[in-house]
Amino acid sequence: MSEQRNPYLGRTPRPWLELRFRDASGASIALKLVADTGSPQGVILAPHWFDRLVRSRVAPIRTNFGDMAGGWLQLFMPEDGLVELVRGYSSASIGEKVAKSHPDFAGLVGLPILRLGVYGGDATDFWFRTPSPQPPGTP
Amino acid sequence: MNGSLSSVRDEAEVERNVQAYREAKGELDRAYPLKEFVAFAGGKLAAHSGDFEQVVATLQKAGHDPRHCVVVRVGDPDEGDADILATDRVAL
Repeated sequence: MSEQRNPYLGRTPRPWLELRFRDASGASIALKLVADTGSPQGVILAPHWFDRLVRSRVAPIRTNFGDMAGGWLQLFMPEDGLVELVRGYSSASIGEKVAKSHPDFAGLVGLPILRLGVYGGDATDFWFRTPSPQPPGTP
Repeated sequence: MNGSLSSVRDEAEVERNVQAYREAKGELDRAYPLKEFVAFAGGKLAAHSGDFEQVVATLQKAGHDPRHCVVVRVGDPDEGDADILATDRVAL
């Protein structure tokens, strides 16, 4: 079992995860994202991060934050057993709001990704656990 | 080329491909296997494969920038409109 445990962060304390993505060139990009179990979207990023990471597009969505462009992003964390093509969306409004809370925040991570593992929190920390990847040759 | 003009053209191409997808989506479930990736480029269906990277490679080989193409996975729920996000009025 692989675990990420992070002390709450931000102007008002927020749970967050660091997720790593791979862009079209194969470069690895780590982003701190506010964990929002109420978000039905896997990832919502500030537009400059979305533009950096998007591999191809999906249809946009209309939300109470306005219309959001969407696309496929490559979540790439093989050491944590997380290699998934995920749908992500772009929102300047979300990007501004999370950055106002803490300048390191690049967006939100929602339920479709959180439920790939087990998540929880206590008075000080938020954590996210994923099954360890199987070693090569394991039946 | 002017960056903003290029960006407008890129978004126009995305919108054209979104429109092509919307016109075809009723047929996709019948025409392709579950989980197949189907790509729209140049305003029409341009590639399909069970492997996303294969679809991207096909689009590039045909001269398309995959970042302006729409790729859907057959059987995925249509996320559509009016999703409600919990944090709209909350000060983060």
